[in-house]
Amino acid sequence: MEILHNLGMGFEIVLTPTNLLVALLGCLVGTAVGVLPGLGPTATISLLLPISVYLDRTSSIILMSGIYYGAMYGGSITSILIKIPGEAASVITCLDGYQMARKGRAGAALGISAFASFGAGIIATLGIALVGPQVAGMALAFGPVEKTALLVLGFTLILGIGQGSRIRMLAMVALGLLLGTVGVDLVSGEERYVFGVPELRDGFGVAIVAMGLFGLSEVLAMAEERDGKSEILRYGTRVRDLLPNRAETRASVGPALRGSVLGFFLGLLPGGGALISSFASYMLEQRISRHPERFGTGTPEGVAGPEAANNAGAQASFIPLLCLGIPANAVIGVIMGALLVQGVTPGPQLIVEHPELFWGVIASMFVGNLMLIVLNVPLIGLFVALLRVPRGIMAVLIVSFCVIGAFSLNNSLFDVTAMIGFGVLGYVLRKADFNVAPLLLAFVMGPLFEQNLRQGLIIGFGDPVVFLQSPISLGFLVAAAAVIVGPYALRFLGRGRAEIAQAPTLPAE
Amino acid sequence: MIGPLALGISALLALYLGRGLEIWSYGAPGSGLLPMAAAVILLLASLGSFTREPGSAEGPGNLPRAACYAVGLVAIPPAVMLLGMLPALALFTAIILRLVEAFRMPTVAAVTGASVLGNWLLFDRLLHVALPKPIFW
Repeated sequence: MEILHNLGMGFEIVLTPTNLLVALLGCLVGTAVGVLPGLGPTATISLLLPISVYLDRTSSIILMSGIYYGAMYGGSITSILIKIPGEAASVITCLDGYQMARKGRAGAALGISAFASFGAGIIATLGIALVGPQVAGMALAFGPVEKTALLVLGFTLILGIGQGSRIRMLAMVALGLLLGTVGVDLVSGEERYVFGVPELRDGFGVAIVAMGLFGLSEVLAMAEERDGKSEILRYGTRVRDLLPNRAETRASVGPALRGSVLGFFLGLLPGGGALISSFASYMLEQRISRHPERFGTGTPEGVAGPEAANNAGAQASFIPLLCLGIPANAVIGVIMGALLVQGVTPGPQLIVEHPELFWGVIASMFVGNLMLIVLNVPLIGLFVALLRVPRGIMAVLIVSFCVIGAFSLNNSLFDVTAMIGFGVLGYVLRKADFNVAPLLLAFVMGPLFEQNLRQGLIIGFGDPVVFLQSPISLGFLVAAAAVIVGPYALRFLGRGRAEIAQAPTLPAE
Repeated sequence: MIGPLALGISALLALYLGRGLEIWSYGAPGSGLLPMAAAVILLLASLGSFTREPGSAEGPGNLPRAACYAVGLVAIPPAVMLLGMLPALALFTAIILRLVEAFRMPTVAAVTGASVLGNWLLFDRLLHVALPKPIFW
């Protein structure tokens, strides 16, 4: 009953004209960036951080969450119609979605994707409403010792199940931690890597780092690429054309439900989220199917499962942020930055101190998913038209927006210069095949980790054994060790070898 | 190779510049503990990255065009100090679109005008951001 009461409060907040407009804007912008290859939700949310400062804190998170799950919807459109995933989480949809389109079932593939995403969105939102308060309740018992161990688990999960070479991701985590230490140490008052520059005393802002690493580095990556001429397959424009037939519907329901549940649980893990969920769902469906050979030839199961999973994963990744204060992936890391800019510290206290934010965001997910299913079907043609905007024009518009946005945060040209520096750094790192997402996550989590580590060690009179004395902390540390050692142990035992060899490769986010 | 090398040098620099920070003081961790630990991990990880050649590294792409953009970006802060925010961005937009992307002048003018107008309306009029004015204003 309490959940219903709280959800009612959330709906009261979200059903105001401003928040409805913000949710609609978030869903539309999210779908548009999901359609556009390259420009993903992380970059877009980073670009909008300066604007979010001018919004009420609940409205700003509603906007950003709308962009995130809207991008999951949008990403599938180009995967199906031109075999170019607009978003990394939609890569797997290319396999069967595009083949369905080639068979003349493009409308049905788009419909299956939209309905599976909608169903998963609703299931995941209910899951957040049910699980979120329980997780936050448990987390209220966490002190600095437990929080430190939890953050260690978060770091290892980023390394364990993230994309790319582990050693390179470790380098990015270390660089993120190092950048997070710039500024005045709040305990001792000592300056660290400030070099006499007054602007550096407060350290780098999350918004500046995120806009540079994801926004401007994307512009430089865009500059490298030529505008491609992809053939867009024909699809129906009437709602009727987007409805799957009876056999397709029957084939899609089970995978969509399984994908929703799998995506929800994978989304809860730090390092998880939409991308891993969609790949895991595809592998699960292929494994349990009576006809695994049909996967890759245009089977509806190969669209419904991953599309449901990526949406559920995207939404579930809000739980670690809102209930534990840990960002599960780069997009959530940027949203955490937005909360910090607004003066809200995410964590178990958030649900007690800012219930309007927690329940307002959950209610907005119901409303946003409904908006997406109603609006996206008739607007597919409009979103596809975005693909015709030349990259060069998009790049200069993003630069202008980034530069003024960075300046507007503190009316400081130093921020603009720092953002440009991070943009060039992000581009160089990407060219050297380093994934910058762990860098941002470590940058966001680093100060929290340092604060809790130091407090924990003070509690234990400087003895690190204190982290092994709390059962909760010990459990997190054992889990962290399992994440690191587990894959090697499996490989050593010869069990995981075949699965690793067969698994589709995860693209970098 | 350049990436791991640059990261390794950054780690060594961080270790050198942070040498004055205390790792442990008064029986508790000092302000230097995390920076030093992070720098050591960065150094070791960058050394480890040398031995592992990535399998999925991106191709060379159009590097001169990306370099032109990078030069343009670096020139923005001094241009803003001299010309003001909106004129500097208009200049950046026009130069990149005309000289780097080779768009026709009417397109360049239309995109530059729309960009300046849109940013002025959003940031100056709606959000009341005090955008830097030209030095001679």
